[in-house]
Amino acid sequence: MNERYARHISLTEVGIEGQQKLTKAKVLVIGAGGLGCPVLKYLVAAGIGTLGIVDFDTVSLSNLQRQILYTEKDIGKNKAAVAKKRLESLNKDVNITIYPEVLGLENCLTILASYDIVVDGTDNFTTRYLLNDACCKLQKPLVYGSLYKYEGQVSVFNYKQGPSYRCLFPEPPKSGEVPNCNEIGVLGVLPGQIGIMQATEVLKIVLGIGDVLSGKLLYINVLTNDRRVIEIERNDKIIQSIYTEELELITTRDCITIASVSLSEMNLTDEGVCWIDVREDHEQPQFEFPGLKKIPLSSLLDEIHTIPKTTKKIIFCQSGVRAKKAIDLLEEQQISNCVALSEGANELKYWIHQQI
Amino acid sequence: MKLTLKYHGRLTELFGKKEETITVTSNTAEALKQELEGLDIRFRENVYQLAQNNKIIKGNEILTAFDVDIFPPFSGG
Repeated sequence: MNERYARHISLTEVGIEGQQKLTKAKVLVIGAGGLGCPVLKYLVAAGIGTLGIVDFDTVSLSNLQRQILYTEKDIGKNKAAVAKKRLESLNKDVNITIYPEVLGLENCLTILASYDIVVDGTDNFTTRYLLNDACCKLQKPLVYGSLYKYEGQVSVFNYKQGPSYRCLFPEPPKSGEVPNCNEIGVLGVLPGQIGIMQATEVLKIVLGIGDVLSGKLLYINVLTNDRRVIEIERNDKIIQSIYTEELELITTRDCITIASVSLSEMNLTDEGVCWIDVREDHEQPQFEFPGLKKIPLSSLLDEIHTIPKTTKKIIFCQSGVRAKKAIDLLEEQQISNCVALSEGANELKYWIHQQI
Repeated sequence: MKLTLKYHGRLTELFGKKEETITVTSNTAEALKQELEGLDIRFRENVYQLAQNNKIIKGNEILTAFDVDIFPPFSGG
């Protein structure tokens, strides 16, 4: 242990005692994406003893520009499972538990209960508000990070009676107000910077050193080099209402909380599956196979009566973006059991060719 | 008084500028919010927080600075 962590142990503020605190720490990371990858890598390297990773999503090609734990061979695989494998090769002594599922009302409090500190690596307000409220109820620190193109924010909420995320933003934005992260883009290095700052806050909390970013919002803009620490006050009334009210999901569908499936997990002969192509009629390549319906996104609501309600539905388009919008629309109309195909039509054509 | 509004995140694109100087009559955070929301529908339709001198300001807190930062929530991760 001493050789691996020698550079930590040499620090007067850490020492062997501090390294032992890291070994005993239990940290849960929600989301193994742009923020989660650097957070996880540095926490594992630092010797955090127990780590939980929650992520239902699969690796896609567009993730590789910033999600540094993954390679091209991982495309289509569950992020939490791949992350665990990669991190164990970095430090086999870290005990890693994965939760390849959506964090929701049913599992949130149970999963959080086993950990001391929670790291927010989510990319949507639904999970962020749920996580904040759950951490507030359980009085666990939430190390928050979020991004917008070239700008990032970091803070620690619910730490030693400090403010919560709702003290900063009591109510979530309206649906569609903050664009989907798939549509806006982000400079690849930014989640690296923000994630490393989140990991730093975790280490400071565990070690009990330095000034934790509680009651403060660190804001950076990597284009202008603007960097500020903004003070936030605790709002007792808001905190009290979180304590007393039941957990609930907010309805803002700002980003991907939509289940997806990869071709690598499927066979064309799978029975009881309805495939829905939501591309417009003129788009190529065209498909004909049993169980396929062609309903362009533009006429989805007009054709909704033709969609089976309970059968598993795999929705696809040219790149995956419209498939997720279609699922949003279908779920608003109470049509469940829909998953988006991670790949687009061209990959599907190649896959079908291989299957036949 | 003249006040410089400094936009961040998506608000920079929504307003098409990083900052603008306007004349306002408000002297508290809440009054400024209401004045801005009366001036432009974009303030009514978006969630944001005001900050002066690197501190989030709300309610009856008095405006003392000539610059006010306007921060929207970020969602990306």
